[in-house]
Amino acid sequence: MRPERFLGSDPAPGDLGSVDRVAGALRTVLLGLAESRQRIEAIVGPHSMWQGPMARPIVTALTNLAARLRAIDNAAVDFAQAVEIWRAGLVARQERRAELTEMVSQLAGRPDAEEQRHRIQTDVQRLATEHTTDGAVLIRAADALAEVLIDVDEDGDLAADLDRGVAAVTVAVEEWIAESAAELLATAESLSDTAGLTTVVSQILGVVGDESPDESDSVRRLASVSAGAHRLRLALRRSWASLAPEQLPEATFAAPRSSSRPAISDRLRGDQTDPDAGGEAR
Amino acid sequence: MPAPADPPRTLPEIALDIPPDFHEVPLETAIEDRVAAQTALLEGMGLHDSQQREGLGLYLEAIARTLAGGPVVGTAFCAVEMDGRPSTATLTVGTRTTSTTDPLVMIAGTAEALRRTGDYETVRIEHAGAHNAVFASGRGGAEGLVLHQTTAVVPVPGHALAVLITVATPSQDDVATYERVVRSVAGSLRIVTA
Repeated sequence: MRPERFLGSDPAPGDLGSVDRVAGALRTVLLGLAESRQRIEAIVGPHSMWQGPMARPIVTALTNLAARLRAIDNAAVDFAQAVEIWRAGLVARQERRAELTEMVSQLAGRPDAEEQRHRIQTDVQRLATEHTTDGAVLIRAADALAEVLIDVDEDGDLAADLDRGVAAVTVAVEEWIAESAAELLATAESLSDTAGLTTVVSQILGVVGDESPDESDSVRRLASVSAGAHRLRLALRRSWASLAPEQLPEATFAAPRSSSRPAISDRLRGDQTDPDAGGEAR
Repeated sequence: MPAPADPPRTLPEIALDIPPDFHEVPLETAIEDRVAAQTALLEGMGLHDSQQREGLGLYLEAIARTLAGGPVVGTAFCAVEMDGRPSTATLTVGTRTTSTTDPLVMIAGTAEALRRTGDYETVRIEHAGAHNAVFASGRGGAEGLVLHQTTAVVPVPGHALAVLITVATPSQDDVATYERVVRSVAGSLRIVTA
């Protein structure tokens, strides 16, 4: 039943399907905004790699971006709530409109029902006023969201700030690699070689396979320059598997007792080091 | 971009928590201290075969002499039972001064430099303890014995210094366990005195 035909005009126009589509799209936007903001906040959070003076411009830019997303998020939430309120009102008004349309249709051909028709017209008028008022509230919410979007858009050039920050870090990293990476990699290589040498201890204990330990150049080199080189070479050429301990302690890998600091820590004392002497804190 | 402040001239005293399962190779500078530590280690290992004791004693001394003056601060081994089978690994610690105190530059530079070597299967930046560290894993070791290694590079906060910790094991089945160990040791790094 077309309301205009019976009520003179439609007091509550609106397509509920369209309103639901807008509400659904807003929910998707809100989820995306929250997820993006959380990801950005995690990037620059206390556990992130972006720490220190060089990271500060990037952290500042990303923090600003997160703040902008939060402002949009808040405004979008307000607008989504306004859409929900509008929808609830629209449903109620369109139900009332259907009732009034039905009532007017029932009065057709009854000249004695002028008073009833007049009361219905008053209700129709009230319904139209309420519809217009609620519509204005919805428009104000949409304007507020638009205003926030414009403010955020005009609030400095985040992309340029980020670009400058990242470029500065990239340059600093390349300079550091040129200055310091070779020595650091040499130290890592030295640790790797030492790991190989120390593994031989476990081979002599008999806990690593059946092979004799004397396999690598570095072990042979180590033996050749040692005191007791001949006897050590003999020791390195045999398999010690037959002397493997019958029982090994169960692994715990627990933190050491606080009272017993390991000797490695003792040697990590910087006060024994001259920083100009080659870099090792030993 | 303002240049970072000059690194402090005095390097800090640093502490690491190393699990007691690991036995340190004695690296004392004074020979009498070193020999005493070697003897204590051999006694602690409960070795009864004289040739094995002699071979291990000579080898421990050879390691100490080889590492003297280098960047390796300490090296340790463990021989334990894990899931009913023997398992062994080494833990080696070194330090290196660098040209910056900026943790981001050191972390990103280290990760990139390690990646560029092509020697590591994975290079990751992870949070360990109260700071970030680079963890690089790959295979290495002597001919005939493949060692699965993970090296952690941890910048010392406020200092132009990195601590490197390498765990290596020939036990393929225990790689994940020892990776947890090296992460735990890296996360325990702290400055005792600045």
